[in-house]
Amino acid sequence: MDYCCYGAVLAELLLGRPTRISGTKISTGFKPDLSLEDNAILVLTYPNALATTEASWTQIGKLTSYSTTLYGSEGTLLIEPNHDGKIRLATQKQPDGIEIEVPEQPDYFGNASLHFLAAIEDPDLDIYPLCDAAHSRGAQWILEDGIRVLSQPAVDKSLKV
Amino acid sequence: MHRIATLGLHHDHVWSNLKELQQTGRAKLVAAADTDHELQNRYQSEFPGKTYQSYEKLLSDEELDAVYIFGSNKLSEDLTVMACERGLHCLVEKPMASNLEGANRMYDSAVSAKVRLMINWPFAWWPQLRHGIAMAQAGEIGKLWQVKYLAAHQDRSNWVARDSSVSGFTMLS
Repeated sequence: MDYCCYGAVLAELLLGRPTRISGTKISTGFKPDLSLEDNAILVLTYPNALATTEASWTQIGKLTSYSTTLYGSEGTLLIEPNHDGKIRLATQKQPDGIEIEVPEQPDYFGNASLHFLAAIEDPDLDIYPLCDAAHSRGAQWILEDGIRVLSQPAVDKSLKV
Repeated sequence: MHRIATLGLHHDHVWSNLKELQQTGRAKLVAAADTDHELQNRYQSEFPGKTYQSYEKLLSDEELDAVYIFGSNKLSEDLTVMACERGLHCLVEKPMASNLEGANRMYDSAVSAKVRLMINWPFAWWPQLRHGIAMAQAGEIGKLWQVKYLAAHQDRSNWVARDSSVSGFTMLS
């Protein structure tokens, strides 16, 4: 559950509301006690950009999981997960990528509780945009449309040949 | 000292978040409510405060400043609206709701009550992700043309098994 939502809120924050959403979902059958799908992907289309948000409950190991990639016209950012993850930037001059140093950040970014308490104590403090209700509501819009799209019967092209 | 209660203990992220809240030293955990006795027992064994079977009774009996909402996605909507109507700030575990209508209700309730509504996306607390977002927003990688994220592990979230109301397409919720 609640897995495609991460990519949805990230895309919403960085690219806004997509003009088209497509995707697919499958059940691998590896989890017979799970009546839900266990893998899904949404593809979000924008006028000049795209975003994918993938979710899996069947991946073995941690390779690639929870990693974020941001592709720009002048560089690519590969962002590792967890609190101690690295961030690497690839450019035309540094195609293999170099590690970027992350600057020190205020204590209230340490975890959800520190941020929430800071927001209560200082009404002028902006909630970090990823956690702002407006962006989370935007992510919900993406997910709702994704659910609508994926609830339509899939056409198996192989049957038409 | 902020007086905070927890509404819903379904989501397994609740335990680490409550520990972090305790560690701030700036909040008192007053109470928790959930319909699941096993979860109530776990709360009682690890955290201070009374446990309730009824969310409404907790909200009417306890004096609070804010609530943590870690119920199922379907429950988040009603719990958030109830809390906002009582003037309580809300931290809600992601995703915001189970559908857009619910998210809209939550948003409107918080705006109307003039309280803080924060949705906790755990990856928001990764420094390198925030830095990457800031770099992209500042144009440091040029014009952004693709965003890619993969969430994957081998075990489904515990709350799926607990929440009998869950039905299809929940991976997208």
